[in-house]
Amino acid sequence: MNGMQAAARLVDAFEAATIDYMVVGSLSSSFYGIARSTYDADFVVDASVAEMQRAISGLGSDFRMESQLSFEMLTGTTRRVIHLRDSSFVIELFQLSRDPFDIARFQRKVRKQLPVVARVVFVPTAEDVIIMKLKWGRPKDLDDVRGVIAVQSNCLDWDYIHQWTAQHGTQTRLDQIRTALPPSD
Amino acid sequence: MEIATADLADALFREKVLRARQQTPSEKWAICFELHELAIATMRAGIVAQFPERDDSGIAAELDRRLRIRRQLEEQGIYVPIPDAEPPCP
Repeated sequence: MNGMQAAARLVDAFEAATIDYMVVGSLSSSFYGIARSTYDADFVVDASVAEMQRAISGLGSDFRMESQLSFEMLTGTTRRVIHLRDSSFVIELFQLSRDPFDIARFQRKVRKQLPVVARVVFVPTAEDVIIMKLKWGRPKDLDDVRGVIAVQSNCLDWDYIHQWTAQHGTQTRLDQIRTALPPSD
Repeated sequence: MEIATADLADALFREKVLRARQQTPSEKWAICFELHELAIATMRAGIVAQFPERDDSGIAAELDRRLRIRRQLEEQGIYVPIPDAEPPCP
């Protein structure tokens, strides 16, 4: 089983268990921006650990959830890692945190048709992908932001983005990216 | 960055942007997964070249080790393990 098949099966498991989720991380920035290689598929999930475990256990022995739970320092959420049999690809599940932005982007998530996985999946909006990745601020995240802004060009709600970058203290980071962006129209 | 190099980087980026605008989100997801497979195949080829005497399991073990290192570097300072809330039953 490859990463794409695994992500599709996980979406099915969440849907069957009526667990609210959205695909985040590099798959969400690739959705709106420039595709890049990734070693994992990241999901934000609104469910307890027990509910997640129940949903995963139904997927069989191809999926193995790590027993170790990790605390993520940036948004204060927790993470579970799922390993796939015979694959180096991993799936990371982040529990929906109480962070106001985490809650807002989860509420604003949109349902999109993805023929490549023959599924309709939930992803954050392009604006929320930019805001979150500015907050992360690692070089790869800022590259992703650059890609989303350049590809989406005039389709972004800048008032909404500025509202959160002001709160997160990431406005300078955003301005630097936009200033350095070469014209691509 | 020298001006000529910066111009080249900008031109390459513009090319990527224009290509991305022609692709559907679905096609872009397919590329992400294909690039992953390619990255793993390249890492494996590098290990085979460096350790030609190793069998498949030895190569897989080295690949796992390298992927663990990659992950540790990427996650340094971001994630903290949470101790089990309840100790396992004796």
